Amino acid sequence: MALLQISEPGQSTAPHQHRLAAGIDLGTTNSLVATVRSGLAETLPDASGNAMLPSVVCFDSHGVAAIGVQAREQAALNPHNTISSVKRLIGLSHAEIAGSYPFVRLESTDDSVPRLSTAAGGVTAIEVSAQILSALRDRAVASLGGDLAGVVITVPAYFDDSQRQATKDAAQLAGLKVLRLINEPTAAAIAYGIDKKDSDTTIAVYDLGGGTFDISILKLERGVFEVLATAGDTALGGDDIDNAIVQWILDESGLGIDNDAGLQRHLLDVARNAKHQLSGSAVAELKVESGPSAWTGQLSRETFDGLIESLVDRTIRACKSTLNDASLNASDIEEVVMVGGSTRVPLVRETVSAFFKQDVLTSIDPDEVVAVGAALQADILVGNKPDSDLLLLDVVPLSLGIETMGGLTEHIIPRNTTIPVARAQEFTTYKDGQTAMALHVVQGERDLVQDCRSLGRFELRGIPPMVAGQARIQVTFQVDADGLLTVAATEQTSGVAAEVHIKPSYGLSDGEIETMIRDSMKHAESDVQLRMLQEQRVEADRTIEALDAAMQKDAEAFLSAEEKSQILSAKDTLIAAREGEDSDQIKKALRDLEAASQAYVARRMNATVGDLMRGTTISNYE
Amino acid sequence: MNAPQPDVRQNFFELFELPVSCSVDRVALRSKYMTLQRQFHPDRYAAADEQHRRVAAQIAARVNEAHDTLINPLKCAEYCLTLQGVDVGAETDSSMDPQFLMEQMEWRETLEDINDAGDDAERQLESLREDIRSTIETISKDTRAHLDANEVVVARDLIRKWQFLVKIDKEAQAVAAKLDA
Repeated sequence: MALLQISEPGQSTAPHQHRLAAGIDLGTTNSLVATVRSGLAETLPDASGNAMLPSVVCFDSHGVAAIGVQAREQAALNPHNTISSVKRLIGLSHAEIAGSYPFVRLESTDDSVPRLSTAAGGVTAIEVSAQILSALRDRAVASLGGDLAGVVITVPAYFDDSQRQATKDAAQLAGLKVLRLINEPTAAAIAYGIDKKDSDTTIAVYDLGGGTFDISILKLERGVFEVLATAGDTALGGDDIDNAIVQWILDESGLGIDNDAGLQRHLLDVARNAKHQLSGSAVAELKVESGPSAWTGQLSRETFDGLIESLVDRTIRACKSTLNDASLNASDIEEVVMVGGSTRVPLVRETVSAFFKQDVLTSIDPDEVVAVGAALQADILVGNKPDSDLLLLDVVPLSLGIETMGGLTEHIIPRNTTIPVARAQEFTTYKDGQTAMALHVVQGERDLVQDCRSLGRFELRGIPPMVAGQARIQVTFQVDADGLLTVAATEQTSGVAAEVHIKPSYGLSDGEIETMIRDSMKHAESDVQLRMLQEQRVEADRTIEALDAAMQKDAEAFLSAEEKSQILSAKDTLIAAREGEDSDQIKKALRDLEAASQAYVARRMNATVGDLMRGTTISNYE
Repeated sequence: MNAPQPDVRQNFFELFELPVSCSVDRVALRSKYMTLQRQFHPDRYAAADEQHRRVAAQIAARVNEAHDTLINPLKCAEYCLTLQGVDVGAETDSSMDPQFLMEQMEWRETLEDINDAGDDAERQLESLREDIRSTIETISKDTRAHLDANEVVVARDLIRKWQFLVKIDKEAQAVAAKLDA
């Protein structure tokens, strides 16, 4: 309970202490972690100097066998137990995975969460992502020499509620405290320091990665970022460029692949190598040497450009339609940020530059730029930069609502509403004596529920029997700063209030996450207890310190003698518990102290609102 | 001292330090919005404890709701009416100026016909939308005048017409999007 932070928002209780924070780009093909050291954001490499961790996890009968480069090497030999591109699956339901990715092997269970089949049994996309995040966390901890106070993780701008929730769940499972999820294009813009510009700016972020393409239009207005529109193609990227070159080699050389997996891999390597050569020179030398197959040749820039022209044109078409969505023209864009390794290809840069009629930003490594931006934002959020003016305002990407009679959608929070947001609407019963109500939460713009995406269902029970239409059930939708939704329902007339919170149906419940954390740690039970105890002690110290500081300042102004003595007695209980060995006891004492000082916190907060008003009134009239 | 709730005592205008009127100074509104966001956005409390984050999120949500209401002319007019203790009225309340209803029906028919008007569709639609927009403009001006003069009954009727117009404008927009595609 850092009461001091009310008067000085953004500051930690110990302003001079640098807290360790990291930004994580959890990518489809590769993932990276970056941090701010001595004022500079940089990615953290592994022991062999690679900043990029392939987003691949390999399983065997004992569990996780390899993550990253080693896992990727297993992909060809052990395809069924090697999970790559898991980001495409996170937050999706059984039906959605079966529909879009029919080759993915799923366990057939009644479980709400889809499980991928591996030698280690069924694993969820959340668990696989958590493995990647853990590897990055370990790398950061080793490199920075201490535990992370918090991380910022980037997600695509089009990620919906369940995909964001699932990403957060994965982070929790990996033992990370998520300060905030931010959109990848926003992170890239931050990396280029566009947020430091004085004037309002409209930005396009062009992101061509290994397997996906995204284009986003952002607006920056006085330090506040807004996503105006976003679109993309989840099946377009560097892999397609590589395949185009492989096809050209096959045509030129007359070689046949004929199920020769070894030759196929070799040709892909040759193709990638040629692609990299062509980023710097006019001609690439190609040499195929695999078993009996041998061939040498040359690929010119001109021929290469011809091979990939149609791919690049597809991205430009997406740029056009995104500009349309944002009601803008290409000439309205003032900065173009290039993201993703495939933007190194000269034709890509030239075409994008010609379309937007300006030089594009490429000075930061396009593979690292998102992680760098996330690191800068993490540094601010963790409290290392109290003077920062940057604020990221996000909107709800799709309308959120509830199913009403007849399978119709009633929107409660319309799309593009700025978050955080809370909206309430009243519903009623349709049958006499109805004591329960089924609530179905959906996301989407369509009028029919069947055309929208189902986020979850829950039941409100214990409604006192009444005539139809008399019960008043208030349904509240709350979306937090990360875009995550909580829905609550309360029956109002009776005074008997029931309340339910839900999470997306294909995320994991808190209970499931706890179970998974316990499972993953069962061999280190005592460590866990010790860690929990230590965490609770730190939290207790922080709280006591902040409370003392606050009360010294203004306890007299805000508290009656009785209230003050209640708070002090709760504080004494906490001090006593902190000396003990029982983390639950400390937790309980913390909660009690929080309850005792709730009114105090609210009054201080109000006083801050009041001060703010008075402050600006004066300056307005000056 | 009573234990205050963080926000419920102030109405949206007070929160943004604006005079209670649906002729909102948009520049002042936007500027105050940024100031309040800077103060209360949950990111400012990302490193703080749960309770502070919750209170900040509540205030930020309130600030967003107030901004969304005041920036939208119709919502703002509805809100002004609510502040004067008048309910805009349920949709089931069908007492409405017959002449206005006739005009509504004609517009709706025109809109339906446009769908198969062929090459002329775009021009027809544009002219219809121009009519709707200028009617909205007039009605919103009248509403503001009556609200500012505390003539709530007249204002309420105007707001209900305004609601109809916004709805048909949205439908026209949807037809336009279909024609574009």
